[in-house]
Amino acid sequence: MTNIPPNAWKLFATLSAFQKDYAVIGGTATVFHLEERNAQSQRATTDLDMAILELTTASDAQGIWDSLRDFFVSNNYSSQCLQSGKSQSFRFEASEDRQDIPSIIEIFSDETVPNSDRWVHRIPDAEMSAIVLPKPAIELVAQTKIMRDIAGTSVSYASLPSLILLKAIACQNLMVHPNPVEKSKHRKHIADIIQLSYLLKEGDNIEVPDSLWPYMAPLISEPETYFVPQRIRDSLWVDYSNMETRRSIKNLTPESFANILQTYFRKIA
Amino acid sequence: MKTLVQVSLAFIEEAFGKGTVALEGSCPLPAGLSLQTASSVEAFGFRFLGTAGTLIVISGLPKTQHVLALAAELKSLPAPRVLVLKEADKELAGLLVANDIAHIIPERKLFIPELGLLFKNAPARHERWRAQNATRLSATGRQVITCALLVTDTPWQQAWKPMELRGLLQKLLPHVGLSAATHTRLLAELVDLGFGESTSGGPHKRFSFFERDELWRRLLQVQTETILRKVRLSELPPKPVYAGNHALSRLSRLRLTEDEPIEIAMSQKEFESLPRVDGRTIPSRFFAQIWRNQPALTTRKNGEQCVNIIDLVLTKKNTTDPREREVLYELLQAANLSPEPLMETL
Repeated sequence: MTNIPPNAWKLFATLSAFQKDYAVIGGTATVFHLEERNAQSQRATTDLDMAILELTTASDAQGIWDSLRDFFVSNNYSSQCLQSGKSQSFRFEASEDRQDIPSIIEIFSDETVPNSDRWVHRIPDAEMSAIVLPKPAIELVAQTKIMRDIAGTSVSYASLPSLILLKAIACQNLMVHPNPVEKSKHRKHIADIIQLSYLLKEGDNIEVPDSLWPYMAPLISEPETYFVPQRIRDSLWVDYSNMETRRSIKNLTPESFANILQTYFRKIA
Repeated sequence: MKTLVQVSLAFIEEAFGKGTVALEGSCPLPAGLSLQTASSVEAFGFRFLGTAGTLIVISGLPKTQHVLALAAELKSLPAPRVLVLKEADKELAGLLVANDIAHIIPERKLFIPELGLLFKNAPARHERWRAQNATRLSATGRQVITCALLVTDTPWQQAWKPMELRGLLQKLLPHVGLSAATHTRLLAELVDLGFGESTSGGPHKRFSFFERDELWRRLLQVQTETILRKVRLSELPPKPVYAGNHALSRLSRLRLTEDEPIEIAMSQKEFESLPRVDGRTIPSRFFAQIWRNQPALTTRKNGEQCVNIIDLVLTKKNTTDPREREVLYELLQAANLSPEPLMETL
């Protein structure tokens, strides 16, 4: 059964009219899938990543930007300035004493209005900006997203394979990041890919656009770089008291994950 | 590289001076050795104070019974036959002495009962202790370095008169109880472990800590005594000091899973003062990390008391969970400490 994290109720209630316009991605979406497939819930943070699927100032999507802005203002979220002095208005932080709302909300969207020096683009009417994701990735998330009604609240989140793809994009981008602290964050995405790949089942197959394939290909062609045995054991939160599970985990190799990904992800031209 | 026999001969000469003449080269093995016993044996002659003898070098790390069997065969032969062993565990060393078997462990021990000789090259007890603890920081030392890293309004880099520093530490860590002797040992420990330097002696003696970044890097390099053990508690004591993942979730944006244990930190003394319950009947998810010292410089967040960031990082520095590591890096950055030394520990 899928549960909404206690600090996300307010936000989802605010956005319930715009279910088709957004999808939760990142660690919170990972937890949704783990719970949905009766897997042990893994370590997560209290922040929330959200992809806006409809674009910028189109009238039907304007509502979600307005609602988000109202939510940020009414809950005293702040966005810090970048070193360049520009506003970092894709990352909104709540005050430390608030336990009832996500501590950080990050907004993602595609590169329709790119600002390449910051990898963010501005949505003028909403006075907000978003971290850029490739347009085909946003389209894929939009096509495959899951919409649920949980205890009277509407939630929309990325499908499991599209989430793996987003994690692969984040992982490849972070691995070449010049800042070592930022670079080290790629590990959490690999851990999530391991955990999520292990849950893939029939019907989860996805066709990956040619332009996104370079993010997935290294995971399949160089599995020993990503899925080292120690990392596999550390990343899989499973019931280790179950002998059968323990045995099946023991048999997992880097190649096992390459095979899983090859089975479920197919490149389309 | 010197062979074992060369090292042994040098050891004999070093131990007893010029009375020893080492005659390198192989000697015929004593008659009576079975082939099986002799298979891993080389023999070399030596002359000690006019007595001719043979060093029987046993290669590898032989089993106790093989050494004793060989020694029994050698015992019937005239003149000293001395076994040379690369090393011997406590049990074997004890048996060799108990059975009057002449032996040498190069650079450590020489025992030739026929000549009435026993020589041990063991360092004094305090030197052994210092050698064993050369990379281990005591609990008090850890707390002092924690103060130097967290109490930033003190000019730690100044050259301290030892007594002035002791006064400051007594104010910051009142529960530690720094006697003059403890304080002297503490400063020696900090110098030995590379946290500071001491200059001159007597009334002009001064101690100074190294730069903050260097202290932080060094703290993660040395072994530190953090948690002595973990025990399950039936209930939380009043005013608990949260530790482990529970503290990490309070101080950062880490979210705990529902069934995650709640850990607190307390000293051995505090733990012993808790009322006793039958451990088998405790169903709780409360755990206590037992520390040697009382948790110091705790931090308060949303009404809850947690261990400080340095202690938290030291107790969690081996975690491989990427999200736990990520929030640890963020907490360090917020405390103006570089996460890079912690990243190097992975």
